[in-house]
Amino acid sequence: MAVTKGTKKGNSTLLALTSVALALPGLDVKAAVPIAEPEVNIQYGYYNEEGDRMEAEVFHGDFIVPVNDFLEFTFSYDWDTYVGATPSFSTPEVMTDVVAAASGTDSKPYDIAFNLFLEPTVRAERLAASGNPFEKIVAGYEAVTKRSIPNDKPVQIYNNQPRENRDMPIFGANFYVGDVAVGLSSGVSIEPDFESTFGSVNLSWDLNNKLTTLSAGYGLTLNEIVREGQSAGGHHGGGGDEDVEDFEAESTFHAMNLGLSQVLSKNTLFHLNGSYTNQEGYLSNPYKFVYVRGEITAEEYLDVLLNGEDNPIGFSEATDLDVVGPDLFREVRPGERHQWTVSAGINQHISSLDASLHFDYRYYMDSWDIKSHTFELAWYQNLPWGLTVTPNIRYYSQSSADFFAPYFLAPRTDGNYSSDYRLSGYGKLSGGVNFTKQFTKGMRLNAGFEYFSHQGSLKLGGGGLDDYADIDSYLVSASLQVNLSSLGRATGGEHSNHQNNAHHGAHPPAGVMFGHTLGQAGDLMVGYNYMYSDNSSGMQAGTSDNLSDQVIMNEACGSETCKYKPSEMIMHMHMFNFMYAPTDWLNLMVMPQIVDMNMAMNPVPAVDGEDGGEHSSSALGDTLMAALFKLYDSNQHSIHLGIGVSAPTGSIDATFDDTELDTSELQSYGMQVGSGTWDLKPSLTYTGNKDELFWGVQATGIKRMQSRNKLGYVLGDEIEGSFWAGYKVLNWLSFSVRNTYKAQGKIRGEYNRVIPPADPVEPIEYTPLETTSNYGGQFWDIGLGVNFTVPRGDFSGHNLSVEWMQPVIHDYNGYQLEQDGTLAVRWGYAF
Amino acid sequence: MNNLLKYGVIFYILISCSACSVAPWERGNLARRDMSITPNPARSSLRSHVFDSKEASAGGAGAVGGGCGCN
Amino acid sequence: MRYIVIVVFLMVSYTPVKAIEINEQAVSCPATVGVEKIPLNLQQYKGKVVYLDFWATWCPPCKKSMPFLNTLRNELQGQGFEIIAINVDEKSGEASDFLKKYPVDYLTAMDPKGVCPQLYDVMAMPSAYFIGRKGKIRYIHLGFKERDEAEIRQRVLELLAEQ
Repeated sequence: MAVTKGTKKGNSTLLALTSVALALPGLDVKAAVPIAEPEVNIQYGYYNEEGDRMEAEVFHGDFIVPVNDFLEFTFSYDWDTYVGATPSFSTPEVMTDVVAAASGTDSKPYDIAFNLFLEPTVRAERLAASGNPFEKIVAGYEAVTKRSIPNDKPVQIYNNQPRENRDMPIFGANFYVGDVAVGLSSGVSIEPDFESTFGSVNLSWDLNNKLTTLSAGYGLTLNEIVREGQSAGGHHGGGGDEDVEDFEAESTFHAMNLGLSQVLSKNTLFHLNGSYTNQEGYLSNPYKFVYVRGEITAEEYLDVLLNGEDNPIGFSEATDLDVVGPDLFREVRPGERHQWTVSAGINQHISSLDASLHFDYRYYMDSWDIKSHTFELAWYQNLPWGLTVTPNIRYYSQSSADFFAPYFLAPRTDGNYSSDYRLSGYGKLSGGVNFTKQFTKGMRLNAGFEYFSHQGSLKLGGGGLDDYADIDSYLVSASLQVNLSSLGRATGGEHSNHQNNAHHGAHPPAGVMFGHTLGQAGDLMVGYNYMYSDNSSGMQAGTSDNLSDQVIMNEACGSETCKYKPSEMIMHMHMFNFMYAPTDWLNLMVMPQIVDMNMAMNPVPAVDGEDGGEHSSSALGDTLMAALFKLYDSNQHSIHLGIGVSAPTGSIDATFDDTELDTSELQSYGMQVGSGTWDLKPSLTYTGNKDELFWGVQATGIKRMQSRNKLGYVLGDEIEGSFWAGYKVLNWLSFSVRNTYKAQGKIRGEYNRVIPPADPVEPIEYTPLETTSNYGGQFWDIGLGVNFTVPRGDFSGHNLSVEWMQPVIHDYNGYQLEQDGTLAVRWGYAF
Repeated sequence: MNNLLKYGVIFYILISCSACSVAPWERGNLARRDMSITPNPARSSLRSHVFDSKEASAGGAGAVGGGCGCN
Repeated sequence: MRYIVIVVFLMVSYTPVKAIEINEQAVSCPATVGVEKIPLNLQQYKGKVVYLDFWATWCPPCKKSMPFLNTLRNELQGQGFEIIAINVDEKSGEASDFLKKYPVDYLTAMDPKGVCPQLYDVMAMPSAYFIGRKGKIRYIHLGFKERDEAEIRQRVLELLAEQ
């Protein structure tokens, strides 16, 4: 329950899904036909390996904007988050207990030989305790290793990564001149420990009356792997218990490709592609280890033990490899890799079935001796109501790298070693299905699922390592594509479609949820809401602010004395809003969101130069689904009732060390991204307008529908009332003022998972955030808003609102960080 | 060299033969979304990302063409 | 062996083209109008300037040109300007569904079998044939981009100015 100092973070590792460099995101050949209309895409992907052992989420957004007939700009942003365990190294099964014990307090003969990895004083103690003369130590070591004949079964040792994020923005521009298109793109990918900068240029040329297209591309990628010397440390900043040495390395990739596509008939398209990539520099993974027996002999271990002094890393004469443990070294891959691919594919349309078949094959080989085959088949079946269902199947088989082995019982002459299962021989079979729904108004929804089975036994022609890292995983994806100009919906005639934006006067202020309804059946709206707050004005109890540290220490933590207090909390919320009107009186909406919070602490009483560290949680939040029923609707007044349900898709197990393991300490209630419960969000809204004036009243609330979530607590219920009024200054600009009152209950129950501090001698450090009565309160706020609308023209239907909510009187339950105001921005596009 | 010439000629015949040629107004089926090389670009790049991270191979995609052939 | 290759090569790459050329008389072709499938008769448009537009629902630039063409036609109709659109969708139903949602005021004829574009040797989609008052093809415009609007208007006005 309380905060403990210096919770050790696991080695932050380059997680499998983060090797952007391999994905060559910059190399993206563009079609020679301009897109003609602006378009925006957003996609969510969720990857899960081996039943939650490792998870990753990928959030992607991009837009394409044509500037004129020759030029268009593109921008995309990817935000990935990943957490979980990946294999670090493997050993023969019979050796695992020995290696594991090597870090414990057993004094097995094997263990004694590795005392140098412990502190000098402990080493001396253990040497004294072992009672073995030096010759016996060597004999003991040799006996153990020679006696342990490994069976064929290697066992993977896993490493837990704390949750980490990756950001990747990419800019691009495409030029179209006659039958030639030139695409340029450039971007960066940034994650802890790994940064990549890339750029590419692509050309395509239509020949033969556009029946043949030739394409060529070149991409350059520059990678930098950097690990900071100090581990990220615990919750309170400062050093962790373990200092890790600095590590910095680089690599450069050059990639080239050539492509050809040929129309073979009215219903057949054939394409051929070849590529070559040259990778140079540091190509290993610094967090993957290999077990190599015999690289350092017993005599060499003994030599370092006796003469190594206080520096445990004294093996430079014995080996070139980086020692990380008993017979455990950092892997070494060659400094160069040449990769070639040849691929071909055919798309065949079958008119009688209203379906199309795609078949693709790729052959890959590289200078590390890896060869692979990929076969892929997809069937696009069109159905009524704009639906398409696409089942697909994929078979992939690769041979292993010549320097790969699950473990090495003797050193290799070329000095290259890897036990990374991704370089082993195996096959992977996957099957999936994707659903697409095309709305007539230029919007398309996709949802897909794919299941992968990675197995040594599936390798083409056999010879794959049976059972070595046999892994099952699945990928879920959902995406939305929106055509942004009114040309997407009206491309001819004098009759334009209903003017959604002119309906019902102006939009309600940006901070109001469920305030807006769509005009007619068939209408659609997509939107993006952003909320931002930065609270840093000190603690407040009830209505008294500027509390002194003395007061906080003695009273804010229940019966205990507080050691730390929150000093700043920054929150960003990104919400995506989809609304559809199946009938004139009913609107359905879905709102997923991403929440990003960062909290900084300070010790109480304040200590010069010392701070309490920071922690953050950012992930997918709870998803809201709502139905809005229009009770009364005229040009002047309308009333609607909303029934909303919040699904607990947001995580509530963010931990201080970011690993989200059951054994790690949970962050405070306020830092959890979701509520953990199914919640009901009813609302009743009245809006009215007359000429340039508009106004509205809303009552809304949150009722938690479960008495406790899976971690033993439930957030307070809420009730909120607000009224607003505004004035339309110009037909595209309006201002609003809003008054809100909110009452929020405190937290009931408490965390059922309490992790005692690692060191029982250390005192538990309390903060006000763990006391459940320090949540909730009554809040009066004033909102000032401005709204911009595009009433006519190519971009009609777009709307942007901005509102600042300023606290007037806040009455907090218990002791809380004072709220300083919230900025809300909403963009919506109705069509 | 002679082989290359032979294949080059066959290739030229294939791409320019009027019998197998498709007229500009006959490209309706080729213009369908499900006949494009990547009907779902965002999903394709997500899948590529998963494959390239978990497998040793990389690359191999990237052809463009087909489609409506409009001007 | 070599000679066979050359002969085959020549046979398949030579395409007899009965192409329509500039200054030839515009011919009637078997496109039909309306549910009753009345054949299109270009003769009745003699004395007017006709913009013969080949288009399809699967062609984005075609659809993009339609609002502009509709406006142009309504503006200059009084001076004797007419637009006739020939739709080449293989399933004419798709074209009529499209026109129900996004109607135009000028005549559309259906040619699902693609005989008209063949007669007119259409080289790109969309293709526009400017037919003068005497029934002769004066210009052929391939494709459609926003920057073509001024040029199209210019040519139509020139042709209207002739007697």
